[in-house]
Amino acid sequence: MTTTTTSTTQTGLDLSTHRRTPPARLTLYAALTAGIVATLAPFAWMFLGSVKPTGEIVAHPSTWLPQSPTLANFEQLLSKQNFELYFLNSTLVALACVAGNLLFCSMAGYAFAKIEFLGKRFLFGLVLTMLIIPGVTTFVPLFVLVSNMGLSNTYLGLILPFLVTPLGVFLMRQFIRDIPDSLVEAARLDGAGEARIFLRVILPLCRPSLATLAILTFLAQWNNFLWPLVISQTEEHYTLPVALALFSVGANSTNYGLLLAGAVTVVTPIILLFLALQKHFIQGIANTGIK
Amino acid sequence: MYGLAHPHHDVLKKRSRIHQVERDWTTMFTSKIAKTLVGGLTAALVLTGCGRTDAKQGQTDKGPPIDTSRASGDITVWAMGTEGELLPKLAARFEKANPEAKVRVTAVPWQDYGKKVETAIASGDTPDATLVGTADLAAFATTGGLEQVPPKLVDDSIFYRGAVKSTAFEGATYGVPWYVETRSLFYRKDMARAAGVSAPKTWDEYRPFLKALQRQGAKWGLSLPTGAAQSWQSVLPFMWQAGARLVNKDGGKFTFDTPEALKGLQFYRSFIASKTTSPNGPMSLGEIEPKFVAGSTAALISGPWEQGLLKSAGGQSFVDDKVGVAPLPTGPKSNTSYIGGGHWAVFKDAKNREGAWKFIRWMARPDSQKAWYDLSGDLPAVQSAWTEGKLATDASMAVFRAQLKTAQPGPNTTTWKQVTAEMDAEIEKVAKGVSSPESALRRLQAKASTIGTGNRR
Repeated sequence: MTTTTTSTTQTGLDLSTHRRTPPARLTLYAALTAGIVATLAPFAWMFLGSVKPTGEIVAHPSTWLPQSPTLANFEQLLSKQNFELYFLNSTLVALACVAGNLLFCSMAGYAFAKIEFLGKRFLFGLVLTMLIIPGVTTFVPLFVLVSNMGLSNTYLGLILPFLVTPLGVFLMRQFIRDIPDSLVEAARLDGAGEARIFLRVILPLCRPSLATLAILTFLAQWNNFLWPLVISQTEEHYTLPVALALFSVGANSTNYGLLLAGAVTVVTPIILLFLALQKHFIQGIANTGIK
Repeated sequence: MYGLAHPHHDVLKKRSRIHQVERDWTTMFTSKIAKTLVGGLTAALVLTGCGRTDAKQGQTDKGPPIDTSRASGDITVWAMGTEGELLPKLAARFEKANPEAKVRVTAVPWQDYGKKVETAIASGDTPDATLVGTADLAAFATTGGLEQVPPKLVDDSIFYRGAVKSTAFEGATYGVPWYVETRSLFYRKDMARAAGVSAPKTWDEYRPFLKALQRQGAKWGLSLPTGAAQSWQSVLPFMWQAGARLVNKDGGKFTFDTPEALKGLQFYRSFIASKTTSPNGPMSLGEIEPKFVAGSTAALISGPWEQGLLKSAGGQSFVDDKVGVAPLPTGPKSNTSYIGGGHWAVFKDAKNREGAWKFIRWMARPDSQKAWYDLSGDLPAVQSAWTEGKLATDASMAVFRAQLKTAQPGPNTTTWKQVTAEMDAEIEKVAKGVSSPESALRRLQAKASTIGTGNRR
């Protein structure tokens, strides 16, 4: 990345600014194409498989294109009781967690990055510790805690433990640290309070990393299986992954048609979200950590 | 928190200026923070350790007996998978007979249901009753979260013996059998007919039969798992058929180091050595059916659910014309198969234990069992429920029925799951020819002895 006269907020992969000999470029494109095919093939298989009858999905040898396309898998999925509710639950939980993370992680990140206070290093050390401790070790205690608060089988119980995450705090702190202190000081000199600085100066500058955090949080919650499974005592609070497991995975067999149709239903919103936030997302990843 | 760990890793990988972050970390670790980090970690580990102190250990007391009056109140139950989706239909009949009772069923996925049950027990936040896979009952009972079956609730002798065997743990009974399943030999009837052979009755006839099917064009005679999870369920029966017992009489010690167990494992190995069975057996569910339909694998060992799978892979006519079901061939000692299925258990923290036990007692009645078979296709655990309809007349049902009479569960110890993981690993080594059956069993015995049976005797 030698001749980056373009803005440093570009992706860092701006090929047009690189002088490359044609063979090298050819190799690069061949490698990239191979990478893309390898990445997209499972998705193609999933989408194509979702419109095949089960016999055809497991057929041996298998074919890529459906021989007798059918929507039966989707019909079966949608005919399951409460399917809309599970979809709604997933959306609600994921969006609430995204909102919580955007707000609280950036607040904490701002404090860790720009404000001096007693015990800051210790507290930040605790945040990093939380990153290191594997979730499985705290799973049962966390459940007991939430259950003792009377929150099992409630939406709050589904959302509360994930409203703020150590990774989010870390991410936001790294990003905000790179915002020049002079900006904050200027605002302070102009008489702005911390809340105003945070809302008017810091947050607008954080858009790329907020987009990254939004996608990561949404993804994590949208795919979360174990917590919603354990915390929901009745089916009304199931999210999509739990419902899908219920419908398609038996004690001794798996309904692959239903599973693939479910996977398509689950993945599509994520793909749409990613496409919508793609620009910010890539910027966010490239930028965190740059001074 | 749990799901985020992985994307975080990706972000770091993708980050183009990763060295920046590294420097960041380095400065932090050289500072005081390293110390606080260690301190914090220790504190956190201690805190998480505390979470388990309220998990109860040991045997629970027997509750008072259950009277014969009608059930009343809300009865909350968990049932897994299809069983959970269909149970409300059966419960409606119970409610008709017990108008003051209301059964509230929550359908729970089979996937990771054990974690759900265990966390519920740890917090005391449980429903009244739950369906439990037969192999998991001992592990749940040992947490102290399940109530013992009240005296004289149901007569044990009405069930298949193998099913009752897996309800008892350390001399106490924690579950009531509901449905059962066992494994028999599925083979290509059409190929056998063309080869002029009939299903094998003994170990001696086993391989010649499969070889005859292979001469009809099948690449492999019999499909056996070769190390995938749960391989032990297919290999253990060979040991039983040779006369092996895998725990000693008082249940205190595993006994894999017997000539009988060796004979069973050698027999398993002989299928692979003679190229009757592929050394690369199926790794996941649903893998073998298309090969069986295509005729490249001529036989497999599976349970009653297999007919449904074969129907969706090959159609009803395939099942009718080309699939034969036969009892497992008899070894030196028996033709014992593996028995699985579902039991009902009541939680110690149940709010309506009386209602729950009454519901369970009702589900063990022959007519309820028949009704459940009609709804779900699950085979009744109560023997007298098999007297009419398809259960009594169907040829393949007759095979399963005979097989169920002698079928056995795995040893009922809390550590059995750990032992099976070791067993699957040793089976893989034997299947791939990396290890001889003798040394595999020697290692398995050593590991199983270290793990122990967990029985306090």
